[in-house]
Amino acid sequence: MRTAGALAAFLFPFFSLTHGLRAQETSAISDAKCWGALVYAHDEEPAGASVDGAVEGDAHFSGISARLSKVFSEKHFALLGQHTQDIFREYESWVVPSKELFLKVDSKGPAETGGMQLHIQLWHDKKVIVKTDAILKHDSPLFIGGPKWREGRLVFVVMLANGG
Amino acid sequence: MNPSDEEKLTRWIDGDLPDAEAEELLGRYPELRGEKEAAQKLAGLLKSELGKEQDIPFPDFFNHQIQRFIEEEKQSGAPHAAYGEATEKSLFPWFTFWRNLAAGAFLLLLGFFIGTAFLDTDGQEGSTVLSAYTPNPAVASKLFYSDAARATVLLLDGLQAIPASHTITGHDTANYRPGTSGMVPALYSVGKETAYVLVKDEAQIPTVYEVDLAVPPLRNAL
Repeated sequence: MRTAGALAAFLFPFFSLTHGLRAQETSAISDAKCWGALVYAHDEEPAGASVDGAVEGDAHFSGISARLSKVFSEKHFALLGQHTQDIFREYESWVVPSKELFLKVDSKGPAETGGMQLHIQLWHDKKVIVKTDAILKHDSPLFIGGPKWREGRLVFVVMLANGG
Repeated sequence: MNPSDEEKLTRWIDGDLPDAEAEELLGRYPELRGEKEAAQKLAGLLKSELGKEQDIPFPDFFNHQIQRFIEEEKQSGAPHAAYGEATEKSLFPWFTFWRNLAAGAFLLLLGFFIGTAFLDTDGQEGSTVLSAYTPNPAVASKLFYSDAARATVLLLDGLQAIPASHTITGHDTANYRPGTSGMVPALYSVGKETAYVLVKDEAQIPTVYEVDLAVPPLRNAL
């Protein structure tokens, strides 16, 4: 972490100059809100032990965790990070619960059958792991089973958030 | 082959050459018959394998690959450099070129449809994945809807495992608004202890840096 902080400290002035981080926000129109979470599905014991780096899950995540257990064989699901983000009509949107795995999301507008049409890219280590065209509906998550890590695997969960 | 024969050849391929002239042409160039049959077999294979009309997933990328294929063919000298040379293996290099192009397109299409999973969405009420494309050919995707979880599942198999020694952390990242020109500003954690800075290189490949806001210069910069 300290190394990353030092690296960021070194690089940040450059970013500030070249990318104008202080730039004014636009009045971008949001098509929807999207919730993305990086989850570590694992069997590590003792059961329920906290995982390094995990953030505290709320009641919402408890519900998602129960649904994950219906699909994945692992016993435990630790929330490593989460991000609820507006999905903009005219701009790409990024859902970044972790710097390791994150989403690029492009809105394709409301779907005729309800929900939102989205083009989603899952990025890891400067590469796109998967590109999908999806229709996301409320209370209907998309589970993306990702790479193996330690005693389990990483799962990216994405769904429309309330208010979206 | 003289220009007149070339013109006849084109009309023969198009089916516009009278039978008598076609027989005369084939009498002088019997190899043509085999070339045409091979092309027709390929066309039949394309029709049978891609029988129903289907949108090509990620058409821009597909077109780019086709364009690249054509450029590579041009740079390799086929068909024009070999045209008329005594050493050419085929009398009809441009015919071979189009056959190769068709074969290349077929293989590309096949690759796309193998690498692209489609989910039968009939009757499904939940979220739907219309297509999933894994650029790494070693990665296979499997799509299904879980009634028990009331969730759509996209499993990616064949991904390289992340080393256990590698630390993966995350944050409760707060919503952001884009800056001017759609630029992504710093993405703060909810408590503003940290921020992510997403930077794209010239090839538009993003990298996310984590900034520890406990470091005063960084906090001030943001």
